[in-house]
Amino acid sequence: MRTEIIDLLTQLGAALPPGFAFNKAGTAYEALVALSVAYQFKSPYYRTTVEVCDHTGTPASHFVIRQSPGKIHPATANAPRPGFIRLTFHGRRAKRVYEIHNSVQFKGRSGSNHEQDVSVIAQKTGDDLRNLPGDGRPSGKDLKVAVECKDIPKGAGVGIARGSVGNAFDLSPNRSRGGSYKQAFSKTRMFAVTVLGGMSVGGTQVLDYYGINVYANANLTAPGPHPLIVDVAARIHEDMKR
Amino acid sequence: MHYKIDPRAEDVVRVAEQGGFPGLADEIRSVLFTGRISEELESPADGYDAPRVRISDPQPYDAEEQFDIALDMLVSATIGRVRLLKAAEDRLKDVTDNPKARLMEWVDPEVGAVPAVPDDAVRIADKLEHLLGLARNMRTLDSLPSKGS
Repeated sequence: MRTEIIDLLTQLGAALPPGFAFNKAGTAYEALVALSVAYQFKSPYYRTTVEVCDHTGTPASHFVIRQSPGKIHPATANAPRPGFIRLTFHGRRAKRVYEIHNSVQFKGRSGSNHEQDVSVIAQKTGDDLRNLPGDGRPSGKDLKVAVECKDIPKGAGVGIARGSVGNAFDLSPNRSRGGSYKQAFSKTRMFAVTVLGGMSVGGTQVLDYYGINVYANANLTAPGPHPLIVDVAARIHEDMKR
Repeated sequence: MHYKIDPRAEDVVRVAEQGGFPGLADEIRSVLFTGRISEELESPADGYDAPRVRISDPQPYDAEEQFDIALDMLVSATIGRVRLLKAAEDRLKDVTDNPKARLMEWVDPEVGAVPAVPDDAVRIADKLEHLLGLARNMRTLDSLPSKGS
């Protein structure tokens, strides 16, 4: 029967997309987080139109996600390319438009690039990059929400938390005089880490201290909105009303 | 320090290796080699205003724990990811109000985009889940009943 299991594993490997990396952070989890946030905005409470778009910004029925860290492609690139989800908020004053992307790299203050598993930017940032002649990366200051998705069922440790603090540090503006890192990381933006398994005590302590939201045992397949999704939607909604 | 891996857990690791997931096999071995490391909060020490985290020395997993950990890791890296992708595709259908909407995965400029969750993968994952469930109940990969039994 061992042979049967080996055969099934071999068949599964062959059935999945080329390069599907079982040992890398899960694209599957990123896709689920991005789409769950989008679905939350379908509620009439948010007065938001949700559209899945191709890389040019045209509404599409298929959603193309990135398998590995990358840039935003120009609208003139040959299809298919990774798409995004557009959120159009119909507020009292003016229409505000945001985009949800997966696995886009952002330029940090140091000049280094940092992949954000799920990120939210304003439409203008996306448009500016799509109008470039080649691929482009947004900058840390363009970031509204960044969610680090850790598909680690056995749980995450303090190493993940340290990486997230470094990520938030390089992508956030300099602290204003007297301001804390917590304020710099969470006042006008949101950094979050979500883990399929648990988060260690030390990891939670580090993330809490720096104002990075942590969601452990966050399997989003259960019915009803998960606190992660509610919090991300609330942050975007707050920005929409600003 | 590396702890010894129990033969039944090693069996699961070899199955992952022979089934085409050598990276996963290495990851399972590494977890079992390392053993359990726990963390707990302690009262603030002198000169600190926040509690401190005490990290324990590693302790070996017993044979039953090793078998469960190896199986859990195999299940989550294979069946678990297919299930997550399927859940994401279902959510996409809800978002677009289109039951035919597909989740595609962009690989690179040469390959382009391919279905993220092929129907075959769901079918195979179902069968695999059944067999690995039996293995968990029997506590071994050896004594699973044959197809006809």
